[in-house]
Amino acid sequence: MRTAGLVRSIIHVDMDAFYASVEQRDHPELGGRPVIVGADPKGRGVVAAASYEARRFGVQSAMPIGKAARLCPRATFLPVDMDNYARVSGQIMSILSEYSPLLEPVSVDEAFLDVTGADRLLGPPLEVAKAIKARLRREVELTASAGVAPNKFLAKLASDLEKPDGLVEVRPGGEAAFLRDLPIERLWGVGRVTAAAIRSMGIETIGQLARVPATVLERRFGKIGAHLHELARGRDERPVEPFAPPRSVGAEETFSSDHRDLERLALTLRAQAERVAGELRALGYLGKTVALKLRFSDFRTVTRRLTGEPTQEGLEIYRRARRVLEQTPLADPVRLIGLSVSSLSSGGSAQLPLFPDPAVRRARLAQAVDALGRRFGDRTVIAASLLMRPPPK
Amino acid sequence: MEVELERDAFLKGLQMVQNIVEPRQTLPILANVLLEAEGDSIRVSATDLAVGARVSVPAKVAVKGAITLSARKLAEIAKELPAAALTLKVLENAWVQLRCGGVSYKLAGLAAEDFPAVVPTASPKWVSLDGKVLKEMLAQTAFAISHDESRYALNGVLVSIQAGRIRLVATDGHRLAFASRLLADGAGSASGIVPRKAVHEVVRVLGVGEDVQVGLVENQFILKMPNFLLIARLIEGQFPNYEQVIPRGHPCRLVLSRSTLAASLRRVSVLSEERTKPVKLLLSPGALKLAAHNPELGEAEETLPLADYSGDEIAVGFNARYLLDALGALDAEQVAVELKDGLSPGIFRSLEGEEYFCVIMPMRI
Repeated sequence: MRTAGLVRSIIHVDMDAFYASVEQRDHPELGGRPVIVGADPKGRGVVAAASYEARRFGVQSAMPIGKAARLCPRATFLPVDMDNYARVSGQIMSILSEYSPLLEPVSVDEAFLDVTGADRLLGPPLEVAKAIKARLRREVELTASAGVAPNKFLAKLASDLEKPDGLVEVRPGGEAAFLRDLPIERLWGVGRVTAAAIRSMGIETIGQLARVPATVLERRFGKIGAHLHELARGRDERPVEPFAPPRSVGAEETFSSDHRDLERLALTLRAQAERVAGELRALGYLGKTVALKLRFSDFRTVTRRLTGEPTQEGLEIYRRARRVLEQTPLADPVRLIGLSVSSLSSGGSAQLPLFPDPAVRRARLAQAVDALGRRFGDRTVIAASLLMRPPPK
Repeated sequence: MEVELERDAFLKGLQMVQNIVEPRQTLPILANVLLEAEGDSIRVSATDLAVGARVSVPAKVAVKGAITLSARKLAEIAKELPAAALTLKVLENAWVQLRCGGVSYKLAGLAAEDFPAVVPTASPKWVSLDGKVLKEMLAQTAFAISHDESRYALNGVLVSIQAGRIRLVATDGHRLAFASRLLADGAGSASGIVPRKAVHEVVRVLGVGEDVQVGLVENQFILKMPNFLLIARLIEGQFPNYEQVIPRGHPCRLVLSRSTLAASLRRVSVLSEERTKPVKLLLSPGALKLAAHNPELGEAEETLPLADYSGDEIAVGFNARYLLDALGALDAEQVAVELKDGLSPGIFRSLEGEEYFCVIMPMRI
């Protein structure tokens, strides 16, 4: 929905400490108290969400649960009740969808809305954001932070700036002033490694980065360089896409040292296949094509594919990847191995199988393993061949 | 090597083996055909290591010998040459001179010694068949071969010779095609899965009225005609136990005109969803209704009168493409359709001639 020349109005709505807030809402006795949603505090899982009361103790999401328990021993620890959060999420998205058909949910608790050109119908975008926040508070009894801006990147940045219950608008023309003093980590796609590389150029803020010519960044960072330049200047052309199914789901790993041990490569694929299969099941997709990617020590990269019946099973994905691997000559040691599943479709086929299908039983098994993983942590039930592998970082 | 032969016969020979050559090969020499001159013929062979074929073309052999040349270029040249005698002469360093009338080519060849042999691993018990019959049986089953590369045991036709019959079976896991014929000289028993490529090649080269011999030996399928030999490596793996999924004793049996049913299916399925083409069959006393709908396009239905049906009502959905494939493979005008319920496979059977049927699994509708 790109409209050339037209200034867009994008709203990013992000629920505040969503899982924890839902629990506090449903258990009024927890109001104003530290609440941590996630794995068993005695186990090795991680924090899924922490209430703002818990965050004051330094608890963050994705932190090992044990560390959270040490930082905030008096917090109430609750398991992830995904069914409930998904239901609440449905209510939220339904409210948001009343404001624009261009609604792109990013996850259960955040979404982009494109309200370009809706001033006459709904009022100015800032007023729309206020109205949305008020309705969420009234009808779902939860607070949200919102960002209003001419594009997705700035809207997301703005919603994050005054959390919780924040509302920040970046007006057209105000992009440079808004970004000037923000640290470079705020840029979309800049992680620890890229940030360090940018810092080594003597650049700390987005404003400083914006003054570096695009060609310099491109020479230094390749394709991402041009992208960084655009973002630093507050430009982001990506449209709000109401429904954007993923093209593929994949995983890859670079080895600490190159090798060509087939069994070790296969074991890596086994783990990746399980991870990808889990993600496919979570997204509700089946994929037909399994692609194997190999990068050799000389950086030569090959991709080989094998297509079959739609699947979302780790073992089947692994089998296909392994078959391709066995057919690929390993002339040089392997630096990186990965697999991805594409040609995705949702739901099973309506076509019934002629032969008794072991896949039906295996699908039920996978669902049970997923449920155990959600409840007790990702590595609760794993393939025996993966027992000796360290958990993914 | 030095030979003289007729361009027409040479071209025909090349065309019989040329399709075996894959556009992209693992070994450069597999892009070539092997030419072997000896006695009163030149033998032309092609292989992709899984399927190989060899054809003999009459020739005057002045000097016997062998060489390999690009299959594609040789066929292109032969196609453009006038219908006259041509000569092939191997020069030094694997260069080959080809002359025909006033035309002359100098072609870069590769030594014959490196060409993988197209030979049977052992001598099978041969079974004689009418070429037309074999071609028909293969065509009646080949469409059901699976394209799912991950289920390689289904990527071919099961050929089974047993108790004086030859049976061909193919399935993609959704439907199954079965053809069976009595053998004149019914000896021995053997079976193997013949890969799709070999099936298509046999169908392509088989003419009418020729007698062919087929044999299964160790890991090979062999087809022999007077001047032609095809050898295919059998697919390793277990073909599913197909007999257990062939339903017996379905309560409902209809006899329909093949062309009427096919025409109706084509009309109604225009509005089916494109990918899986679901069509609903509603059977009730006196009528068979076909229906399709598509949320974006609309609905279609057609009712065919069924004078002799007085059984229960049955509703069952099928992929229209599967039904049309089956109806296309049936040669009789009258077909029998056997159904049980919406979740059991349907059988589409030929009412005349030799034993042939398709088993098709329904779709959930």
